[in-house]
Amino acid sequence: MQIEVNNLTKKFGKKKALDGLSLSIEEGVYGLLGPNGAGKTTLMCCLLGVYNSNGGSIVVDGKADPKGALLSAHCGYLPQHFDMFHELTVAEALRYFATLKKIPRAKGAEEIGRCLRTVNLEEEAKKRVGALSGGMRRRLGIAQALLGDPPLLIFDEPTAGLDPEERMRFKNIIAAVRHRHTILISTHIVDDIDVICNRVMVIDRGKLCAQGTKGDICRYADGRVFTLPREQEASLNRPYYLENVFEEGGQEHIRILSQIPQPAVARPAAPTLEDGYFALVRGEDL
Amino acid sequence: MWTVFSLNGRRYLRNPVTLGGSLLLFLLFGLLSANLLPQMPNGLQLLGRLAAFQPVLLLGFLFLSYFFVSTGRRRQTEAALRPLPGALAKQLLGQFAVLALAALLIALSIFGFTVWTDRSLCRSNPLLLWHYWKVCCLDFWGVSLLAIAAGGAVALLSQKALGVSLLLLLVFLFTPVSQELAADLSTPQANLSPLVDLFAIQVNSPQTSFYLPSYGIPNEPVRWLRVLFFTLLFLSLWFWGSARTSRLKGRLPAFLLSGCALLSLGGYLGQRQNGLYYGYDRQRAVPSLVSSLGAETYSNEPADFAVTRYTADLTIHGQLSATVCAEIEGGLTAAAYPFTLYRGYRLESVEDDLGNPLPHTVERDYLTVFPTDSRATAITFTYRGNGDMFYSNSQGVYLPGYFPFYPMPGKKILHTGEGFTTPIDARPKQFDVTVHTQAPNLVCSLPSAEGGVRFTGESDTFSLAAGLIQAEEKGGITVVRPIVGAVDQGDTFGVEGFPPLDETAAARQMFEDYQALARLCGVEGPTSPPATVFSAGETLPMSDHWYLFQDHWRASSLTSPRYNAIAAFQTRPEFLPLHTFYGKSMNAAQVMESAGLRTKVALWDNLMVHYNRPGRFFDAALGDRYDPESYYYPLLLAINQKGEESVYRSVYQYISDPGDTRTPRQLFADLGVDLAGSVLQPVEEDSYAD
Repeated sequence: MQIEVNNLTKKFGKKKALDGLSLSIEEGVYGLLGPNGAGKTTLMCCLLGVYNSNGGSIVVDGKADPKGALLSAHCGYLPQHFDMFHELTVAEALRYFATLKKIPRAKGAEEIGRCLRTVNLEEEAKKRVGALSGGMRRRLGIAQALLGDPPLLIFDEPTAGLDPEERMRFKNIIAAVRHRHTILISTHIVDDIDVICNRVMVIDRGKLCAQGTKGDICRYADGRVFTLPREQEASLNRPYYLENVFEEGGQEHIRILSQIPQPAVARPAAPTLEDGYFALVRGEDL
Repeated sequence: MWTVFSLNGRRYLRNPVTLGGSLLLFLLFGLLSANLLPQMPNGLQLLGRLAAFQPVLLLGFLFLSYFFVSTGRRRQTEAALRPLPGALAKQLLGQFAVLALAALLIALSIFGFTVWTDRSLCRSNPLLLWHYWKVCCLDFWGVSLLAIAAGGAVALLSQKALGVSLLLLLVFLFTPVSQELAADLSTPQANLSPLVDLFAIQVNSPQTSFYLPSYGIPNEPVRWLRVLFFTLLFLSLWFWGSARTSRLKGRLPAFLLSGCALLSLGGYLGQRQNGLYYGYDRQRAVPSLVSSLGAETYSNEPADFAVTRYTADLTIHGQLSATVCAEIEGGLTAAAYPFTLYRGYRLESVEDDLGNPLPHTVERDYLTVFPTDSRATAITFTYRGNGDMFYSNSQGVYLPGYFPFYPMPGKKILHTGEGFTTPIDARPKQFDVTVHTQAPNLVCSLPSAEGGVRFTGESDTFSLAAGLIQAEEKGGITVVRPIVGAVDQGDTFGVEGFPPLDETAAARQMFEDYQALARLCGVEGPTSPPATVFSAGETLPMSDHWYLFQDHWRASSLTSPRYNAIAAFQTRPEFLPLHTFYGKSMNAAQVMESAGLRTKVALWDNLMVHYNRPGRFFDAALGDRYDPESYYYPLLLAINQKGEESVYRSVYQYISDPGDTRTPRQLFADLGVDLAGSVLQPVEEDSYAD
């Protein structure tokens, strides 16, 4: 499946949530990085036709899809906040979604079983949704997205609020299905992108800042990343962006991002995906 | 879709709030019905009592729906469904269907109890079964559906705090609270009730809970329209809530609310002129209307002209629309022609048979026509409106011949303070009446000439009835009566009530009692019981008496026979003086002025106690010997000395002759009665003075 987004604009009142955003998605696992309010969810909703855009176009496999009908018909979607009726069992909840996705009844049971196995919820099939933990409910959400084996999966902040174990489980699920689906994952947790995705898109304030492999994103921070002991922070040349505070050798160190030369005490460091992300979204401040 | 429905149903049953709430409503109405069933003689009374609890259903389903739908929203289920075309709408439809089914089960239980109460009648009268079903659909299921739609709409479109406030607002609007408040805040100059009429979906008010055997429970199109309008309005908000974001979506609620407000305001400005406001919907106003009618003071004035023929074309849907042509004996040669037509009918035109529009005046129930061409021989009246308690709409008709629903010659008192059955113009007339109506089982006192639509014949007046009635022959008399039977007014606080009416036996008894009284008074009465007796139709707050028209009788559900004979006898034209006096509040000057008439009425009333309840008469006669206002003892003396016939005849002639200005003492003196020992005994100084 090939998706082209051209100059997409979406306004809510006077506020532009998407401002002439253009990107392209082919096969693979795409990470959509951006700070809160960047427009990640708005982009996904425009792709799915939940919102009508105010400008631009969306082309799916060469066909214009202004209302998202093509994508929504071939897409599994896990929203940012997912829950299901607590009174239904896991199996009933999936049957509910299967019906609404117009999966034939004869195929439904098999499909539900497959999805439950994929997300490792087979043993919870008869448990009520209300009795599931937060991580299990998120896995249920992934399962409903997998129903019907859609070519495109869109996950909006899938690991937000999950404990490390559940986050690891999510990554394992993605790893298991990545070869059969095009996956778009939006998040502001860079670590998740680092492990799962092979292509990254960074958006900020409704615009696409960069799109490419992880290495491409890292390169935006080439020569701009420094580490130094915390106590030496006063010697730094401004402006700079404090990325992280960490402990090394029993001493507190800081990791900064800066476009201007820094004193020798600040040692250059090899950029990571996170550095590249911050370089893109904080570039104006530097 | 079945899966969506069944899974939402499981959700509904597994949630303690929705399950508990529904069970509570079901049990409440079930227990109510079971408890009331042995106390109610028929299903109409049972339904009427249960309808008073309709606001409980409204409240219950309003909050149940709000909870059920908002739970789905709180669970963020919608977010995953939004991208799927039609998924959200199907979910909402499934939720609505589950709630609607719960409401239907309650309505069906009520229907079941009602039909069980009248099971044999329902088997033989599909109309009654259909009526019960319609009432249950409208007043229980329909109102519940409205509440479901409203509660769900609030849940879909508002946050929690605002949602609860909106729910309370809906409770205020759709329960009698708003109507009560509007009524209390209204003044004679500004009636606020029409502003909230759009929301008046209840059949009963807190003060008035009743049914009419011939009319049934009111379920006129106006209430159907109101319930349907709001249900669709709120359902449109459900599906607007599931629609994708668009420019229209942001403005649709404003359009819909504006539409509602305009309709309501239109009702206020239009004063119930538009199609939404018609029907027998004045239950709350009728008792006070009857009281105010009875308190009005004006006199009967018989016409000095005769109407020889009436040709009437009546259309009865939401109201009565009539074109009535009255042919005047000798032509329109007089300067003015007074008629009586109930004030609820608005005249649209008055013309003569030559096409000339005729000037006329209207004051309350009196209209006076001033002819312009003495060559004309007839007056045509075109009017429309409602007779209030004398209802005429597509559900039922009750237009008895003593009620001026067509222009009657002369000025006739509408209500004496005791009842509507005041004398009419008793001269025979030819009637040619065509009736267009969808009201079921239409019956006219005149013979049918054309397939139940046209009726012709000669009589002093004609009556119309339709609704939950049936005409059946019993013992040679055709009785037109309610399907469920006449009112059975049981014992109240130890006072003996009235048993159900057997119209045939009552008619025969009435005939005998009337004949006996007529014979005593020396006048002629009917020579035989009538061919047709109308026992259908009721007025409020009390049932009117028997009325003996020339070709049919109107029977009362009150079954004190001799009193009904008296009341019917008093509808003869010669009793006009009595009806100008009865029940009227008078000031001191009027009392002094009418001393003679007041005395006559008291004398007649005392004599009628002798006819109706001899035991009480004798007790009163002996107990009130020295009461100057009581004539029991003098009458007792007169009857003992001169015989019943002589006394009855004398008193009858005394009261029916306006020119007879004798005092009671003079009357008894002329009769030759020795009044020694009574307050009327002669005194030496002034033999003939009171």
